[in-house]
Amino acid sequence: MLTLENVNSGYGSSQVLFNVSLNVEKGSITAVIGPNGSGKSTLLKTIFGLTDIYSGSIKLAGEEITKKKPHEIAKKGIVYLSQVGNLFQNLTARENLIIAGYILPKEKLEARIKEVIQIFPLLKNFMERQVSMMSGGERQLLAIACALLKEPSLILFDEPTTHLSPKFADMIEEKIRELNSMGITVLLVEQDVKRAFRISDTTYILVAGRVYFQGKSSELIKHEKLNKLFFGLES
Amino acid sequence: MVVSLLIDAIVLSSTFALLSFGFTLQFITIGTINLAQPNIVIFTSYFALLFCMVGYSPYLSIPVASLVGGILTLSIWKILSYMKKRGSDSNTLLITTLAISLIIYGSTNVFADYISRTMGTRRIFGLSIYDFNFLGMPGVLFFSLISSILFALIFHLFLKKCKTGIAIKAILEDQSLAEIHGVNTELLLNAMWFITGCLSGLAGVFYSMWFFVQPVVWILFFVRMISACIIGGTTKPFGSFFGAFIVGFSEVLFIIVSSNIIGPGMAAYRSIVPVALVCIILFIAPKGIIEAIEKYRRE
Repeated sequence: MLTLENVNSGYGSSQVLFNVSLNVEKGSITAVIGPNGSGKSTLLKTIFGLTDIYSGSIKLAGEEITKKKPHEIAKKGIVYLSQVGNLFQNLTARENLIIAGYILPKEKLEARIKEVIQIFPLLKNFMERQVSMMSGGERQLLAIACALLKEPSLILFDEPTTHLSPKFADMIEEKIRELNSMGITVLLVEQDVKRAFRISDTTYILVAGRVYFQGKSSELIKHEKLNKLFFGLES
Repeated sequence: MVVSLLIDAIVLSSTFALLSFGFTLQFITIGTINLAQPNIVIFTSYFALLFCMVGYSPYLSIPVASLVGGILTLSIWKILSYMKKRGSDSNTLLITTLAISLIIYGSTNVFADYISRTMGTRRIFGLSIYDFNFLGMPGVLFFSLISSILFALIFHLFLKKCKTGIAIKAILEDQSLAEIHGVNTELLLNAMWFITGCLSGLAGVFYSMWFFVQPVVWILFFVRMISACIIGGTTKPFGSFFGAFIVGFSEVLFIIVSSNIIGPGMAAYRSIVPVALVCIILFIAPKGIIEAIEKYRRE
């Protein structure tokens, strides 16, 4: 569904990704893990047109999206949920949902907001509340609701469980599984290696901006040397 | 005298309300002040003079002045946004607006000289004699006040009820996040800057219909605009709207009180008022009046 071929990208003159190639199968959950500063978040930003792409190609369902503007990529059915700040703090939950569904026609937007509230009934309690007045968990729920609103075919999650309590992190993990079971493809950047292996079908390990290893998550979790070397995990 | 000063206050406040609103929006989007905006106001006011000289009502110059203001402001935005994309910081952008400001100031002088030589007018002009009277009051009093209030109301409803308005609020908070959600931020920012430029053109016409204009008064415009912006809150467009009214009415109050106590010559010192107000506001409410009120309500 999403293919990156030899992508080199970064910010201005500082290159972060080097010849990154990656393939995300339709309907799968693909995880990207790696040490801090390895370029995981930059990878997602590159897909969404938020960095400078020096060379390489990014294709979504066979269509070239390299160097397209973010608002054009958003219209292709991709949603990007960044690590922090994926909500407008000074807007209410309802206004955030309206912006999330900005590309939808008015009637459809209203209908989608109602549907999303049915999926996340908790949202009903704080629709008119400003985001800055909401808790971390409530914000993350709203962020996912915003992502769902557009009926995306692919969601890019950037460390969705970071800074969350274990209870909320589990809830978010469960929601990601639910989204996937609804047919949405997921590309997930995750710091929590165990969680990444548990949730994903395929995992890519990024080190210093390069794809160091890739494989099926169920196999990688058993890879003793790799786990010890990078993540301090015992198989 | 009091009636004349009240008209002064209303026209001045309304004009600066239109200006300061745009000035604050521009400040939020580029992270620095646009020093060129006051010169655009003066430049466009000469179009009102031009219309009067060829025998038309100055009100008819509003579409032309607004369009010229809009195009000039949009051009400034295109230059600044290009520089911003190339990594220019807010200091560089500020210096750029100063350079553009001086270019427009020079152009205004050329324009003023051309009109005065070809049409026999003076470089310093006021157009109140070309205005009509309604209920014994000048037309500009009603036009400027209604325009500013109407604009504030429409814009408030637009930001509150309309999807595009909510998108503008989103852009003002986080441009790249809005872009991620599919908002064409470039298009909306272009439109927003164009509208703020149109408001400058409108303000230029209104100002010239009650006050005397000459190219050099841009500096007084700048002081009042930035004062209104700081008093209301640099991140609150509607705050600057109220800030403009506070500045306008305070100036008049200062003239009335100081003239009674010291003498009529005190009117010449009216431009001290905005600066003094800014000092007081920065001391008691550094983030502006609106933020202070919101904080009080939250507590």
